[in-house]
Amino acid sequence: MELVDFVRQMAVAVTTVAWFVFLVTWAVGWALRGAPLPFRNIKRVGQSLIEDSVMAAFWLALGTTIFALISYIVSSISLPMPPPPSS
Amino acid sequence: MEILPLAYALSLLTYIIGAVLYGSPIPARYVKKWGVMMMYDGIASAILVSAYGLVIKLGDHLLSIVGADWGNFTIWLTSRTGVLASMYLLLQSLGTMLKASGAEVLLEILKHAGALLATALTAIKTVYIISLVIYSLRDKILSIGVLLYSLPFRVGRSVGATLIAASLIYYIGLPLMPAFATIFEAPPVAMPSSGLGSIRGRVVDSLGNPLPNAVVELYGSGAVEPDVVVVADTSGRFYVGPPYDVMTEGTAFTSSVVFMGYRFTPDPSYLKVPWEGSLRVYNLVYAGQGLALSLIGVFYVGNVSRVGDGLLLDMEVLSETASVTILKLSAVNVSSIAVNGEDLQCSWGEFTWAGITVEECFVNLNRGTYTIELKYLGTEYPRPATTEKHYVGTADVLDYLISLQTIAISYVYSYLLLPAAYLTILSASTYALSKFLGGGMRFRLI
Repeated sequence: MELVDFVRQMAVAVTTVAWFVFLVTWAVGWALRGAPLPFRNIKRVGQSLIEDSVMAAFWLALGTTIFALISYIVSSISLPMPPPPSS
Repeated sequence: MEILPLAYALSLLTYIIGAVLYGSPIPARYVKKWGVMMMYDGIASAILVSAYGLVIKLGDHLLSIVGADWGNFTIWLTSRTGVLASMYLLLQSLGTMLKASGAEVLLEILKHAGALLATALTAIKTVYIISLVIYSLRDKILSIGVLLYSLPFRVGRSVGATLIAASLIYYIGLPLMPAFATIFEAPPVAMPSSGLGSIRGRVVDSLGNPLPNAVVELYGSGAVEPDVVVVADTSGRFYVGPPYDVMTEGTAFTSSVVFMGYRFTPDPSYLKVPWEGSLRVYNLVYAGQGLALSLIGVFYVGNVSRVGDGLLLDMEVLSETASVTILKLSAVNVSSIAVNGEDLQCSWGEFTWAGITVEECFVNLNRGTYTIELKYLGTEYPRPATTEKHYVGTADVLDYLISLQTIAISYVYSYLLLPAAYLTILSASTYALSKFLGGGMRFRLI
């Protein structure tokens, strides 16, 4: 059980780190996008960083819900099986 | 099950790490790719963890659909093991027999057949162990597979997928092995039921009294020298057969009995293995205590009675002439012989046979009824110093051993090659399913 707790604590820690990372990404993205550099590539990278950080934050926020949903759906599927064909 | 919560937590961790990588400020594409992949992996392993019970139930359900049964499979395995073990024991006893009878040359064939059987037995045992592991540890294998599958960064994904697939495929597939074996099994080789046989019996005189220490000789067809020489015990019993004599059923012999230096043809004179009964010497009356009467001619022996040291014999001579030979050990002291009340003076002739000194006296008789009265002081009839001779029917035994070897080879095919082929099919199916699950063991040397 200790190992499970450890993994759970680790997940919580990583989640906390994740939010900071997303914030940093978002900030870096905007910094690159709004930087006074006349390079389109840099602006594009900044744009994609903003999008990724938002998407990742979205999926992270939905993560617990997704997992709960999976558990619910699969456990509702695993009802008793119908009997095999007898003929 | 504590493994499943751990696997669930690990899949959540995988998902979160995936999200971190996906949302990280590193503009490298492969990092983003790994992030997305890990998020998918987390979801997939979460589905597997949640579907643990479903997979277990699915295995049972598929098992009942295909009509396989673990109980029947175990019975099938046990019966196969029993057949092999009994065959192995038969070979061992044959080996002991061949050693005792001095036919060690044939042991090599036996050793070869034994090695083949041992191989088949090992194969069956291996299948038994595999089935035992799968049957009793299926849920544990599955949960460990799920745990390995849910480790982050795809560390144990292929091993986990293989374990999950194996737990499912082998659980459903192994009980179907009997059906597979029935289709491809070699046609059953008829076990040579006419194996080895024996001749056992009792040597008796014309009145049914046992002839102690009589020498029984058995001649093969056309043989001049006896193939078997055996000395009966003090109650006339003799035995020719395993382990000292190796003779297959159906072997025929002509019998002969030697008693007090005289050779007689008993009834029956033709013996076919296996045989059990009495060898009756019709033209001999053994009075006991080292004295016998050998009758030449046609006789009807009415009564023999012993009172004290006297012998009274009532008989009728049915042929024109007949002869009675009185045989005694030299140590036997005959005080008087009377035929129909008249004293008879015997001129004893002496000869030695097999270390025994025998004296003989001939009495000629004509047709009529006779009462022979003898007074004598006897002694126990000793065991003659005859060398016993044992029989090893090499050609018959060779045929028998070769048929056993053929059976052993068919066992190797049925119990080693077929299960191995079937296990290979199951392994291939396991590989395919593990590939479908996203793993797939890659067999690499480095």
